[in-house]
Amino acid sequence: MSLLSIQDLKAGYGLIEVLHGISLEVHEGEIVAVIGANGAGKTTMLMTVSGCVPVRSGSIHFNGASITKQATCKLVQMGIAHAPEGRKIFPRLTVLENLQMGAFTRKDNQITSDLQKMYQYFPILEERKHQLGGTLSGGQQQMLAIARALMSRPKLLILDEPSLGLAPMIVKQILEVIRELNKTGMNGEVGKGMSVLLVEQNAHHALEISHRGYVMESGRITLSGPSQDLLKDKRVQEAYLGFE
Amino acid sequence: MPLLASAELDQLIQYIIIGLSNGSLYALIALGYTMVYGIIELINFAHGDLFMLGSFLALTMLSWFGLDKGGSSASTFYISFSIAILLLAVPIFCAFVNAGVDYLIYKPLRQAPKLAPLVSAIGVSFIFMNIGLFWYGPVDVAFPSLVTREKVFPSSSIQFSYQALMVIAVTVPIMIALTVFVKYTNIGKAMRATAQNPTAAALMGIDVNRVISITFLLGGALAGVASVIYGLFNNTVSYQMGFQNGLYAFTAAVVGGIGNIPGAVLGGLLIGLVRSLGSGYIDEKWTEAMIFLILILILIFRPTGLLGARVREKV
Repeated sequence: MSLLSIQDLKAGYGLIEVLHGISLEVHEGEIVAVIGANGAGKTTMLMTVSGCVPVRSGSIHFNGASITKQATCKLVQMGIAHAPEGRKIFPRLTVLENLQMGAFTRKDNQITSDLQKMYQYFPILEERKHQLGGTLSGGQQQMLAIARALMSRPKLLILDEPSLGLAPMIVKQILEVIRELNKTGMNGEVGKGMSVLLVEQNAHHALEISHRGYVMESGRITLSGPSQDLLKDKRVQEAYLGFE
Repeated sequence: MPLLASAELDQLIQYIIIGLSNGSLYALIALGYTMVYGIIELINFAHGDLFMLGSFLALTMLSWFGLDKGGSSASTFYISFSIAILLLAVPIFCAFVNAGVDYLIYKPLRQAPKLAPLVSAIGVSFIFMNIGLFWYGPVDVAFPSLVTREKVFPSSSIQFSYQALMVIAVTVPIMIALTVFVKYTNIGKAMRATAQNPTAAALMGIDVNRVISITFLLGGALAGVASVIYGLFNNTVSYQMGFQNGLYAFTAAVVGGIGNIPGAVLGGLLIGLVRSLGSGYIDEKWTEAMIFLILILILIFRPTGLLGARVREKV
């Protein structure tokens, strides 16, 4: 079943149209990767899904409901969490407060146990929990941004360039967590995994971890299919995987 | 031999008490400037005049209670009760006027260049001042001295009056409550989060417009409290008081580091002290020049203010 469905989406800033008709699906339980060069419109697409950039035409549906004109702050409660480009953690809030902000819309009593889960995924966050977010290193900030998004217990986790500028070891750690969440979700139940929409410039990482992939060029989807096929595709290999 | 003769020491303490009392009122007003600036980067120039309208409402309400000519014939209970009503009604009035102005005037300009809401705020300031002019005219108006100027400790040589005690008894708990609210409650954390990154705050499910409204409500309420206490402490109000006190409070917010809540309190107290010590030991006519000289010096050596953001942010 389709969890997120984007149909013929057009959006942009001011006089400039960035997305010229994007269609994309994320099914339940899937990791979907969107790869493409800098400036292809990947981040704009994610920000449009999150309601930060207005839709000009086309539609976005989540879990069967239209979210085309939905206000950003309503999406979290519907089940979408977005770890944005550049991490955008709150620099003068502590690590713990950043995580609490991720759970802002929740009223249940499992927030504390979910915090513990975040500390298991990313032990460094527990060590630094009383430190201000702005004092963390880039990799730690990325972990915080992902953990903060997870604190809303989303059905769909949107990740924008989680590997950008990070050391390979940390990228590996983050990808491992994403894979685990996709398999078993936050409750550790097999078959109840979290769906993930992942945008990456590092096509290799993205296609390795995902089930399906889309290639985006200048605001259009130019290629899509199972990630294993895309990894073998000559055009993808030449343009994004560095094959000669 | 004592460093200061005891009469001189009493004098100094007296100036400090007056300075801290007025300073804590500047602090309450400064909090309204600093919180709004922190959230939407708007210097709300109408804030001082909102404070003036609060004083006028308090005076009008006192005339309803029959207390506007002083409370010599009324019982202490009646006076305390009336002041309690003022401290409830005036902050509510100021809170809703402040949030209403934001909703009607600043909110439609949220995406406009920063200069547009700024100029609108100056316009609102003039509108408020004109309302004040119609309300009580162009002259200084006496505000009844309902709280006595008698000493709290009659045997002591220091003039620590019940009026000064009232200022401290009202402002200190409010500042503590505000600090706790902003630091520990979910809404308070959401306010700080929104101030630091509104886009990310919205992605957390925080309704940014609601947070902005709450900020204006809170800032207005604090100005309302300050306006009642100011009247009772200084016993004179006028339609121009918003401009002058607003300017002091704004300076206090900048000195402390605009956007920073403890900074606004510190800045307020500092400016109150400079004013009273300057008037006492140098000359009243130089106090304003001194206040702005201090502002300039602080901005040269600490451009972010005394407590402004000192965290180096990694990107």
